[in-house]
Amino acid sequence: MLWFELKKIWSKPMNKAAFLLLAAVVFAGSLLAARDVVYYREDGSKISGFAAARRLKREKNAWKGYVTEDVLKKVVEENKRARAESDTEDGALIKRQGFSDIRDWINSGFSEPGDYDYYMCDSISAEEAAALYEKRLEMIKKEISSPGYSKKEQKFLTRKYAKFKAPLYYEYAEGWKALLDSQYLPTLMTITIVIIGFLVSGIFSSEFQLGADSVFFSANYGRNRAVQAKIEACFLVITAVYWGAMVIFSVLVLGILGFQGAGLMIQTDYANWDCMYNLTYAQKWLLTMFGGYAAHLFILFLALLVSAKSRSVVVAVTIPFALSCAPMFLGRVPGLTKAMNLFPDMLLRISAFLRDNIIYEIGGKVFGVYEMLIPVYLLLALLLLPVLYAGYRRSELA
Amino acid sequence: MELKMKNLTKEFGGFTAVDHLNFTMENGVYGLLGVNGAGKTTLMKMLCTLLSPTGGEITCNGREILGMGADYRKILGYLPQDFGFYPEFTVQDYLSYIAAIKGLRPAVARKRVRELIEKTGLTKAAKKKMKKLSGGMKRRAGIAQAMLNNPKILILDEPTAGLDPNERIRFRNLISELAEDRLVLLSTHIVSDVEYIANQILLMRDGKIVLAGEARELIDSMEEGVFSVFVRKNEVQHFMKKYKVSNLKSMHDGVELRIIAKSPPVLDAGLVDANLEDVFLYYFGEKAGGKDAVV
Repeated sequence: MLWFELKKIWSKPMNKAAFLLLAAVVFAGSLLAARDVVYYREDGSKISGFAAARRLKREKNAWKGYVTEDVLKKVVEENKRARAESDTEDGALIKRQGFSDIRDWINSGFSEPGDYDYYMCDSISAEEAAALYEKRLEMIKKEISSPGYSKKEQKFLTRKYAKFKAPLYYEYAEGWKALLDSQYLPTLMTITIVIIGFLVSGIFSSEFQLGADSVFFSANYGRNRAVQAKIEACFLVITAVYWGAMVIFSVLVLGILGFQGAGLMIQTDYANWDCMYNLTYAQKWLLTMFGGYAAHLFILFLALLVSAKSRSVVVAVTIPFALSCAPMFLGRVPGLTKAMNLFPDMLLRISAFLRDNIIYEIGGKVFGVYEMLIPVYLLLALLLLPVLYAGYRRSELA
Repeated sequence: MELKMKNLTKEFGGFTAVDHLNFTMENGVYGLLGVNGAGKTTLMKMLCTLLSPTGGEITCNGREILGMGADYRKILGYLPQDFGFYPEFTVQDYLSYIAAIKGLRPAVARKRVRELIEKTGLTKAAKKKMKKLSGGMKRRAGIAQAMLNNPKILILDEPTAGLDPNERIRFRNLISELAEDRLVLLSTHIVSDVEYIANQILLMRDGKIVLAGEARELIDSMEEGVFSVFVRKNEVQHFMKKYKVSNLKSMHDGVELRIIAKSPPVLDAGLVDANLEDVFLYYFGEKAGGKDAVV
């Protein structure tokens, strides 16, 4: 039965086209993500992708190791030397490519919150730079003690930040950064959910649409195992297509740019400098992927439930689209942001929003938004299954 | 096998589609005749557990069918009026899928699908997609799916609708062949279909079975005679208004009418043998004059 349910999906020409479209998006997205990694040659010309990754790897790995006080001092000195030896800022940038990430930490660490100063590293002394990690802690303490946080939230954030271990280890990790710190992954997740929604939306409505419902429901297993087979088919398609798309995208990006850096802390990208989550890139990948999977399961099972109730393919297709896109725009409306951050689409954008340190105090307990949303939406997805099963098997055919 | 309907009622809003129906069926072929909207399809859907009754119940060998659930569906075969299928499936795939949801084991299903493809004359079309089949072939695939589980109760809703005469004859023969040792309920408004194959004919009107019996019994129940009358063309309207006319045949010098009446409509009217179509017209009155009523 399961085999035939899968065959119903894959035998439709429109579904084949949708699947090919997803494959094209995965390939195009991975190439675009890889192209964002650039390297500047001595003559000022720019190369990108695989060739850039090879050269950057050589230069960045020259700084491989723990970024201790001595390393920070050395970065400030090298930074000044690069500027002194170059006629222009662009020329200095070419010479800084090996340690530009560490330079960015210094810029982030010593700039005022929300006011990143690209030239900060040029203006501080090596001795000052050596105190980067203390400066980070000081800034964070200042931020946490602002009136925007309750006592419990402050305690929660302090506990999170206390787990940060200095000094940071550094090495080349452009592949992971391109994969996880760009907009391509959230976009791909949105496209994936819409396409999977298209693929599975007919599973519970096709019998009604085609007039095959009478034969289906009057069959021996029409109100039990055959319904179960439909749910299993949906689960398999969601799981296989989602993980297939994500793993292929990740492998392609990392294959082009390199797998090195999986164990690096995400704070090694200056954009995550203040992030409360102490994760390595590999851990962030897992969190992003499982979060996205939870969102896919919940949104798509909800779409299937609506499809089973309304007996309409169109309604079911619009749900994944609406739930993955609409809250993002509504969240920009002042007053709605906090509520919209609880919608499942947030789980499609973990890689981009993890650095925002979104927390909630509910019932006297404080949660990071993802620590709360992933189990909640997984649980809700599981709860939808018996509702879907019971609702569909009781269908009456007027 | 005994299928009993006790006070069976189905209402949709304020409309009563099946009205306190009481009837018992045992093995044999039952032909359900009635005009459109008589409640035939609703009754069949309730017999197939696709609709729950508003009142009353249906029992199978003494057990209520909705309570029997899968035990009842296991012995049921159904060909709906609007038989839908999966257009991208081949005939073989379609039948294999239905065999699976009917709970046939894979080895048994393979054998049964092969047998029924052969029996319904679909061998050459077995690998064809369902959407490529002709209307007749689709109906044959429909009867094949209904027979997959060798059902004790076979319910066929308008199985010959849309078929050409050859296909209809073939289909009737197939049903007769399959009818042995089971209960077959066949709904149609094509009178000649049931005349050939049904042991018992049920006339349904306004949600009730108004008459049941063998073809001869139904014919004998008519309290009027059937007369053949030859009239001029300009007299036809007059006779149509005054009598129930079950047939009208134009000829070069006039029109031959088949009239149901208590006494001869004209002096030279000839009394002829009544058939089931006359019975249909007799009981269903003016409605039987609709295009669907005359084969």
